[in-house]
Amino acid sequence: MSIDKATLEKLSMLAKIELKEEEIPNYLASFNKLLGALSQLQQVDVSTIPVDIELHTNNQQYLRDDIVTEDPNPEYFQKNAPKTLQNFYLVPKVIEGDN
Amino acid sequence: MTAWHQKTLTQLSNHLHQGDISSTALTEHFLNRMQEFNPSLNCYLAITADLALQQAQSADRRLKEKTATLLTGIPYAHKDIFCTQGIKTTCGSKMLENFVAPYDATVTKKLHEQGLVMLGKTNMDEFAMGSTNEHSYFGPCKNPFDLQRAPGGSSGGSASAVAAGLAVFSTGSDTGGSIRQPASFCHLVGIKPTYGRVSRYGMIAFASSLDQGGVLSQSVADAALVLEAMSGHDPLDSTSAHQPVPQYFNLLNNAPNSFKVAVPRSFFEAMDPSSQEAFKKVLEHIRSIGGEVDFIDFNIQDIVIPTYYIIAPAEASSNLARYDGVRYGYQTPHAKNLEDLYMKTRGEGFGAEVKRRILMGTYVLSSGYYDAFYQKALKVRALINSGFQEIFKKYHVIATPTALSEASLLKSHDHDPLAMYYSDLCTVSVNLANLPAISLPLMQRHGLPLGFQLIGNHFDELTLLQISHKLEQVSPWVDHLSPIKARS
Repeated sequence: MSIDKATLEKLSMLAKIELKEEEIPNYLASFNKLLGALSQLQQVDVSTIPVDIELHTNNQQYLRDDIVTEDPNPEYFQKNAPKTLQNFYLVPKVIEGDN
Repeated sequence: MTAWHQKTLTQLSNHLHQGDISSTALTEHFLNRMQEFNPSLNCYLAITADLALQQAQSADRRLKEKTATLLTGIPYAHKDIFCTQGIKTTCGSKMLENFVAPYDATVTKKLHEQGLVMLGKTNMDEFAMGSTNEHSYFGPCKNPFDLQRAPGGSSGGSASAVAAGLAVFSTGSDTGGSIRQPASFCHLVGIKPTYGRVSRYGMIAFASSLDQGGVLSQSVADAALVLEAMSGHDPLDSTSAHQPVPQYFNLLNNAPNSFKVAVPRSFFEAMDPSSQEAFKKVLEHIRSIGGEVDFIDFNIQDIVIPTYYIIAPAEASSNLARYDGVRYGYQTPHAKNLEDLYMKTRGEGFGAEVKRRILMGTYVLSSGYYDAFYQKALKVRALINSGFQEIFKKYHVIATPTALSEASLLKSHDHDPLAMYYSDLCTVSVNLANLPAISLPLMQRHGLPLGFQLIGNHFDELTLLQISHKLEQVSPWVDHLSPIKARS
C-alpha cells in the first residue's frame, strides 16, 4: 500500500498544514515506508472483537456538578493571543469585498 | 561525604527534616550545578531560579513550623508538557514558544501543595512525539552518560537532569514509553501508572487515550513518594479514575513473600545474547526474593507498533487541531486570508515529526481508510488488552526489557523514523492496554544503562513498587552508578 503526491497534498489540505515543495519527497518516502509496516495489521483476525469496543480501565464516566467554578478573565486568557481587539480575537478578513 | 546532588529524595528529606541543610541552600546548590552543566546537556528549557528560591524559603518556613511533608523543600524538574501558571509552557514546540500557561496542571498544583521546589522546565520531543528528544524545537538534549548519545524521549530532558544530578527527581509523561525508555537510557527508575491514575488536566495532549503522567527518580522509594502525591481522582479530568490511592511509600516494605512473574518468550528472544544474560541475572535476583518465573507465549511484537502508530497519530491529529494561530501560540506573519493563516501557521509552527504524525493520523481517519486502519487498530488494541488480562489471571507481574538496545547516537534516526518507532517495541503495548509499568536500572549493554521493565495489572502500582523495592534491596543501583562527568 502506498500513497502518491496528490494524496499527500489532499492530506495536507485536510490537516491544514502547508507543505513546502522540498518537504514532499521526504514525507512521501517515510509515509510509504510506515504504511508498509501498518499494513501488517490487515492479517490479524479480529472477527471475535465486537464493533463497539469498550476501552476502559474500570473507569466510569464521571460528570461534575453543573455549577460555574471558575471566573475566566478574558484579558488574562487573551494575553497569549497573537492579535485581539476588546474581547475578540482578530483574524484576516473572511468575507471578500471592498467594505 | 556523598555530595548533596548524589543523594536520593528520601535521604534528602531526612536531611531537611533533621536540619542538616535548608531547602534554600539545597536549591542554590542545584541552581549552581544547572548553571554549570545545563549548557552542555540542554536538559532544561527554562530555569525558574526566582520561583525556586521563593518556594525554598516557603519550604524552610514549613520545615521550621513542623508542617512539612516528606516532599517539602525537595528541588525537582518539571517536564515542559505540564502547564505552570504564569510560566512559559512550550511542549518543546515553536508553536508554543511564547505560551504562558494561564493555569496550573493538576499535577503541578498537587506537587506545589506538597511544598516542592520547581527548578525549571525540562526539554522534550515536540508535543512528546519522539523517542530521542531530538525532535525538540529547542535543540537536542544530551545523555549524561555519553554526550554523543540521546537521553531517550520524549521525557529526555527530565531523565538527563536527574541522571546528571541537576534535580532530585523529575516529572514525565508517557504515551508509548516516554518515561520508561529515557529512564532506561539514563540509569533511573521510571514509572508510568495506570491510565486514569494521574490527572491529565493541564498536561498538554498528544494522544488522549494513551497519555499518562508519572515520575523519573533515583530509587523506587522516591518514585513511590512522588507518585502518591501526584495520584488521585480529579474532577477536572473526566478520565481520571475513582480509585483510592494506596499509601505507596508506607506500604513499600509489605511485598508479597511469593509472587509469580511471566516473561514473554518473544521479548526475551528479541534481545541479543549479552542482554539475555543480563536479563537472566535479574531473574535470578527475582527468584531470590520469592518470585516464581515462567516463560510464556505472548506474541504481540509484530502488532504493537502498527497498532500504536495508527491510534496515537489519529488522536494527535484531532488534539493538535486546536493550534490554529488565533487564540494562542505561533501565528504566521505571511497570511493573506483565513485559510492561509491556518495552513501557514501550522506548516511553519510544527516540526517535521509532528507534521508527519498529524498527516498520518489524518490519513487513517479519512474516508475509505477509517475501517481498514483506525477501526482495525482499535480491535487489535482490544485483543492486546485481553491477552494481558489472561496473563494477569495467573501472574502478578510481567517482566520484559524496557528497550532492546542502549541509548542511540545522536542523529542516528534522522533518515529513518520507522527505526525510531521500533525502538518503542517493548513499551507501547503497556499504554495500549492502559497498564502500569516501571523501568528499573538493572541492566547494561555495551557499558551503557539499559532498563528492566515490570508490568502490573490495572491500578496495581503498589505490587509493582513493592516488588521493585525488594529487588532494589538485593540488587542496589544507586550506590553503583557509573561515574559520569556531569554528576561529580
